[in-house]
Amino acid sequence: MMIAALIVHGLCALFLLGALSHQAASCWRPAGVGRPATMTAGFMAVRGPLYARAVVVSYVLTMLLGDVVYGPYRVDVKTMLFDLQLWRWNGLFEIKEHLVALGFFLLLPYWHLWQTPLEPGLERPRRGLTTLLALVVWYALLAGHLLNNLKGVGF
Amino acid sequence: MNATASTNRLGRWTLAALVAGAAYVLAYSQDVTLFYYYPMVGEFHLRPQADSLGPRITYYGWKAIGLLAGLATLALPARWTARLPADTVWIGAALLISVVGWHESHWFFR
Repeated sequence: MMIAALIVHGLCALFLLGALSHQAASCWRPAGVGRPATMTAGFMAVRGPLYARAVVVSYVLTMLLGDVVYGPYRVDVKTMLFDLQLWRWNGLFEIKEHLVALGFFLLLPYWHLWQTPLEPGLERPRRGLTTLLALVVWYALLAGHLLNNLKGVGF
Repeated sequence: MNATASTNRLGRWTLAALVAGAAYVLAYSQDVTLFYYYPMVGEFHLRPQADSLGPRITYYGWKAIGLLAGLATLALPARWTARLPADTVWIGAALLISVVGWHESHWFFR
């Protein structure tokens, strides 16, 4: 059961990472640019507001599933990290859990900033906050993946 | 919703989010929590228990503190948050993230 929760947690995180990466990239796309001619331009040329609801739902779902697997992680993995004095690995996870919590609290202003139409003067806050959230999710997924390679929950 | 109402609402959400984040960071850095969870026995407790219950989780309690602080901030009068600059949201978030990075850096220098 816990392995299934961990797998769904990872899949939700991947979905979230893709959506937020596209959306954050779209914020940095110069205005007035025509049809995308390259793969990078195509990556940035998405309609960001369409992603907001999916991002909020998948962020909350990913975090809740992370909370579910945190119990076995605390018992099996964190105990092992301390026993083997793998402090850096533990630090990776400590930062992950704190950043994910901070990102969760930021979802309300994030949601508000993606309500269309965007008012003048709110482009920079929207770009800044979305980019920060994308960086948080990138860090969380990479740290979680590395730790799962070291010792997976439920194994 | 007109532009002013929308900006005022952003100020409210921003302050609530940043207060929640700051309360969370304060709670975890001072190791203050609302409750403890013992995953080996599946029990919640308001006070730390004997080691026989296994390792405890304080993370859920820290998040609850952040949530409660954020909700309390939403009760503030709208005029208090109306003049909050829109950039506060991402600058404040970046500051909180920096504090976390600084506070947790000790794990990498042991």
